[in-house]
Amino acid sequence: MCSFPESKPSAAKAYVSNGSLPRYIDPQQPPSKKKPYSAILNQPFTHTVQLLLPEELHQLVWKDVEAEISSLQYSRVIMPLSALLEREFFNLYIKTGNILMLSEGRPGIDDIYSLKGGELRLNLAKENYERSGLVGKPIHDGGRKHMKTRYEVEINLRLPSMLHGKKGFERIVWAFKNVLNHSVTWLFHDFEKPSNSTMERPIAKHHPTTHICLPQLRTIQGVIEPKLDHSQALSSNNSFEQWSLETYEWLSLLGLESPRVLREDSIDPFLSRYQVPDGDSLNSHNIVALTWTGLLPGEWIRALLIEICAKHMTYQTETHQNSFFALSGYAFKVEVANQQDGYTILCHTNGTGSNEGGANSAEIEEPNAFVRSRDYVLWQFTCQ
Amino acid sequence: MVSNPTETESAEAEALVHAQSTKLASQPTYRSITIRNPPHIYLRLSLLASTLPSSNQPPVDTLTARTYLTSALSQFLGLTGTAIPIDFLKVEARDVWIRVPREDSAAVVGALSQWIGKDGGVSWRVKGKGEWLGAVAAGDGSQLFEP
Repeated sequence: MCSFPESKPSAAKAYVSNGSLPRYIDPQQPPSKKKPYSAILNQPFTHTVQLLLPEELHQLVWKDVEAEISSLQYSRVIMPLSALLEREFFNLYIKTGNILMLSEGRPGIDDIYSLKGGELRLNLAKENYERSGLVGKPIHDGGRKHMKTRYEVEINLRLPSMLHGKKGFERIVWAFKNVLNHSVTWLFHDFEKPSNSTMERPIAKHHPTTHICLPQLRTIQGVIEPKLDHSQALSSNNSFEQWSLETYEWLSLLGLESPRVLREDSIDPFLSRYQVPDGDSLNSHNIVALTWTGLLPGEWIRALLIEICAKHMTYQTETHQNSFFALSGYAFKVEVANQQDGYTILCHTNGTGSNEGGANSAEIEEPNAFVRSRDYVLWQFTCQ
Repeated sequence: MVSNPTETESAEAEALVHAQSTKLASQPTYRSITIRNPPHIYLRLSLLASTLPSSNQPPVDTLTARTYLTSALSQFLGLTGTAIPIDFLKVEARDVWIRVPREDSAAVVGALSQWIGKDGGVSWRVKGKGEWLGAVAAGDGSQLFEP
């Protein structure tokens, strides 16, 4: 309406796809390359995970799921980069163990460091990059195309050559001692189970503040559900796009605890014209939202998805009820351009011709309709 | 809604071929699409009152927020500004989550940022902006670094 063009076309995109979940998952080798598991693992630093599920499903399965997934903790610690290379820390956490670390910083302004699977990434401004004497490559900073203002240095600390006394390694030690020597706030997660001897771990030297990630539970009562079954929308790309935009908006409104999705909401259209798409205003549902915040590793989120999937299947085969769950993960902002924003995975019964929330006679006659309930829809988002 | 017609057509043709090949095998259809330029932009705003200390600022209600937004938009763009449709998604304490059409978002952000209300020096602050509501609602996680 108003001629205020955006300075450049937005790079924000959503990749939406549907598919079927595997029937059997080997607990020793959980899938990592297939969607939707790859979407979870490709987002290494997640700060919020939200799980939405109907109250009935939550009551029946949550205790079992909770017992299966491991408890999670992370620490906030202030230390310089050089502390990573101190002998004990380096040998125990990086060479033999596995840790996940992310430093504080505004993308594109501050230097951001991250460590995952022994790979240290330094996202540096030009001046610090040149002074550090490390070899990296220029990265896009969202500004002018041929002006290189930011660089990324990738160092695999698990290489056999990365040992104290080796020439290349001493260069890194020099850079961390003389150039990148500021203390920064880190979030730290150790993949090894916390044992009684935690105090003897090398991290204790830096006086970390440890937090245990416990889900925050909220029950949202009287929610109007849209049509969550996507099989009708698959007839064309346009209808699938429409369906996925509307459904994602509804899921996000639930996550936000917006009153717009509630049955008793009576806001004037002057203030909001939002309506639940194809919402059946006579039926309302209670939905439970579980939210974890912290430094959440992808492996843990994958375990949560596998567990809740398995329990969801059992629930459906036992009760023949239509139900759904949606798992979302939102990423820390570390990149200037093409930042991964998050993902949402929605699993829903794909029973044919069934009405929401009711086990009518047709469904009971047709138990095979529930065999196809392993379908999922995956949204992956990028922002500019 | 749909950004580029040629792109969509080619994608649709591709999907059609894919759909036909899967239909032959009597399997469910799989689609994989890319959404660019979604219809809405979501904003998280905060109402600041410069005269009051931040601890005892009263919560804002939807009608007051709407009045302030209308005032800001009409000051910046006149009658045109007041015609921009704004949907309130949530109002909590001093924070407001709204949805605006994508093409008006630049005008709304511009109008809010330069506006200072006459009564008591209130102003808007844009705390979050994005195409995907979930990410706007979840924030960027920077609060985890704070002690």
